[in-house]
Amino acid sequence: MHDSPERLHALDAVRAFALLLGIVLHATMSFMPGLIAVGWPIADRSQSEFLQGTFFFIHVFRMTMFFVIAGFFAHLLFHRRGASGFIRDRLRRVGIPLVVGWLILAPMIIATLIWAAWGSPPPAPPPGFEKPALPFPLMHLWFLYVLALLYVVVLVIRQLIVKLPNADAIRARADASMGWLVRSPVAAMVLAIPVATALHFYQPWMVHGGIPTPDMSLIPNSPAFIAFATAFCFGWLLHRQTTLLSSMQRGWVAYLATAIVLTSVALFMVSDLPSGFFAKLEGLPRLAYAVIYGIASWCWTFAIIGAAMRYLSRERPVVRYLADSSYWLYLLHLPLVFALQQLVSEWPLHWSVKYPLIVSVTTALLLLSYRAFVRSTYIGEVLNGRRYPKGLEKGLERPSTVVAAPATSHSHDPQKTLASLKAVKKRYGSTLALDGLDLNVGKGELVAVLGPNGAGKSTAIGLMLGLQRPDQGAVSLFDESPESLAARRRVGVMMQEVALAPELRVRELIDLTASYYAAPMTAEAAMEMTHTKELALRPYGKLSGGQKRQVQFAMAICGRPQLLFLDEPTVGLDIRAREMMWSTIRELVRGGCSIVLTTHYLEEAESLADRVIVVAKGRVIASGSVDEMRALVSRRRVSCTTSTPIAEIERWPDVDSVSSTGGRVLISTARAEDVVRRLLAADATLSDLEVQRAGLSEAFTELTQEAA
Amino acid sequence: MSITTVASQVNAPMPTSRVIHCYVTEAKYAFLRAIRNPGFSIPTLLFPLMFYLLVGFVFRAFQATDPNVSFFMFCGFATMAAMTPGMFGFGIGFALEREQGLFRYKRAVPMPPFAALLASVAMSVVSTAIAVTLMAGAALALGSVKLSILQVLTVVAVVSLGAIPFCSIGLWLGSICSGRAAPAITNVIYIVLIYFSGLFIPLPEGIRVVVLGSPAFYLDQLALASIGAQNFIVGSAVNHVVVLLGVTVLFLGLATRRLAREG
Repeated sequence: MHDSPERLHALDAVRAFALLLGIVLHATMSFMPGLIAVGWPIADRSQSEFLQGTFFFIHVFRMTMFFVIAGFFAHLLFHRRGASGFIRDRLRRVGIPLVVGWLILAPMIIATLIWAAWGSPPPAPPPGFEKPALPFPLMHLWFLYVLALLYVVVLVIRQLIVKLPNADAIRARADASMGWLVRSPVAAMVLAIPVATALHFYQPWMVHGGIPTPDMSLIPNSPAFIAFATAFCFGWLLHRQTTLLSSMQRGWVAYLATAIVLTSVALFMVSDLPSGFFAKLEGLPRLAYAVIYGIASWCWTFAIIGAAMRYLSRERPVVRYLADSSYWLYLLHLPLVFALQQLVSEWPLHWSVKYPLIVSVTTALLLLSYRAFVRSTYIGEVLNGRRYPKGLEKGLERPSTVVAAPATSHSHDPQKTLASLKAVKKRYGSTLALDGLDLNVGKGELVAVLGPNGAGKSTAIGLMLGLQRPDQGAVSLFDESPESLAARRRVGVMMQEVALAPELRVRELIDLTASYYAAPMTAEAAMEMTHTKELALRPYGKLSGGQKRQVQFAMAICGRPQLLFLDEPTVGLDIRAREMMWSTIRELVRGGCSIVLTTHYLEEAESLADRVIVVAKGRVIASGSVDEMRALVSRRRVSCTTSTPIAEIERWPDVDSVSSTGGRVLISTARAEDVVRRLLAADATLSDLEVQRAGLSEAFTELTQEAA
Repeated sequence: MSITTVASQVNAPMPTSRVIHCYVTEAKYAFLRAIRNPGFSIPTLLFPLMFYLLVGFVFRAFQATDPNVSFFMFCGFATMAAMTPGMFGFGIGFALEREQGLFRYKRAVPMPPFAALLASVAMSVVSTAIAVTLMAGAALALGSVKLSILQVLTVVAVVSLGAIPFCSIGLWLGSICSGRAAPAITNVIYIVLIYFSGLFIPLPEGIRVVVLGSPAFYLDQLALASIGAQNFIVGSAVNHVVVLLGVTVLFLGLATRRLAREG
């Protein structure tokens, strides 16, 4: 069992979502035709079938999902704090809000109800309504009461199991069944069995309301208790094997689609029943509806948890803030919602105006009150377990991972890695594009990546930009994942073969790209640096190939990147434009920018690069400065006209290869001086002697041929 | 501009105002592109109006005495207007973007992941609103439909939002088609969806049930309901909204899946 913080961010968000949906849900209720008879005190003059449907959809899953998360966190807390710590914490964070909250909220709600009912007769109880045993108006705080009951039940059961002689075997079996269940496609069906059975056999069941809300009595009704206990225990067991969360993550789209279909079917089954909210179903339709309803509620739960795992696993300040505030918002929302519903109920406006107004005003007021009275006070400490120091909100937008740069960011420091690939493998179908490639880009250096077509250069750059994920190995960009937006905001890109919007003018394209960065230069400045000013008002589609490359270069640098990827930047440029681009690139490097350059022009690498990396067949076959690369290919080419037979020269030590063309002998060797001495000794008539040092071009050719 | 300021990058986080500016800029240029591309803007903004007038005059539909007939025609063409920008803008536009490397480029630059998507959706919604407003203006001027200003506003709002599911379908088409195949495939699907939704030509009794398979039918129903044309309405508005939401989520999911797999 392990719980990584990322997972908790996602599930925190789900819990907050369940609570905040409560506000959305309760706000619909004054607009639902005929609901006043069921006990909702306020009816708006503008009624809405749409909001009725909205209510139905939310009500299907909201509390089931909530109790799954509650069970999950309960197990987490229990194992962190032990039994007594757990009980103390729960008394504080569930017990106090239940008791104190009830004492404060009950008068507020009753006052609003009196206001609402002023002058109109109290609604008659619905037909077939029976007073429950131990009646008590728990209001919306019932969920705290049921939670408290479930804590007791689960702790007692746990104590019993621990005492058994074969406790470990029972746990292992429970974990194994849980693993099978969550991974199997029938999970939602199996989990729906208890609630469907309970609903089917619950005589007073009014089908439209789904699981009856247990807010009227200290003894919860059986379907509610069974449904929420199932969810709570599922959550409890889920935390024993958090890896199961990834199955939900994988299947969330399928669960969502199933949930939408089943909920629509359920809504369809009850939407035209004659007695509206008091409608009951009998026989087979009743059972079918109960089963569909139960499966739908579990599908929603899996879908939302899965989606949160997928998209909300990283800490996001705004989500974090909402998650912290959601408990307070939910506890306090009901009197405010009542009051606003009553206030607007007679306004001659359409519900589509009033309803959003109620939701947004409620949320805004409660968020303000949270900030003013809760976040940094004792109340916040009770509700959320921590008190935020005042003024911390200002730092909200700052992701904790970003570290401020040292003031001297212009320095050249190749030791500091900005981007790296470590032992990366990437396969496309049957071709291995990268085969354990290592690549580091240091601060302030220009690295030229060379290699024949298909060597894996573009794949390597694609990985560093987060366009693909490696099959094996690690990729990092500014010590983060390259998929992180924060990391890529420090990067500029010029790609090969990209067709930008032909309708946009050059200045507009640069302006658009600049908008992605935190502190870009102006479009004017970027055009000046790249000598594209005279193109500013030309549509991109009307430019020549070389001009397009220059504009793409301007787009690459306009965000003041710390790291620039230039993929074949000078293809199609005339000599003058190429020289100008080279000089801008040199200036950028002098200014502290790191550059990764791929090129087919070896003189470009020779003239610009601090370091050259030669890639072939998905591996780095050589790496070093241009001079080192030349030296690495320490071979020289000795050519002469001689009568010494080739077969004899081949036998000499240090001779790598011998060939002859047009009467001249070509010898490749690492020790040219020794070979020349021997040649002269062997043949006094030798003529036309030449010794050539390999250029980068020869080095490149030889290196890549060796690799092939 | 001295060069030293170029690399004076501080690793400051992106201020919220800049993030909002980025979404707004993306939307602004999505509109500019759409307007400057006559191959897109004319069919999107003017074709619904032209067809509406053509059918109205040539087939004498405007002379019909039953107001429900005029509602039916108006909503049919309004629905068509909602389908066009999403399906063609995304279906063909996105297929070309993928093929020509623009999609790859957009993923490489630090654009917020949904900025381009939202911008294009916003562009489709606004294009639809313009197209339907033009139609409504013509209809009111000619007296071919009796609508109050509130009814016009409602139907424009409903139909404009109704463009969103078709953006989703278009996105999916754009994610599976090559740039060359996209125009043909999108056109065929567009026509099939219109025909089998019974927007203009009521389907024969026996196969009428197939309208349930076309999202356009549900949007048409919502449009009719929004102006209170009772005669042609089947089922409740909630169901129609749910179906359209379902279509949006389904095709968005399929497209996301496809794009994630493609890498």
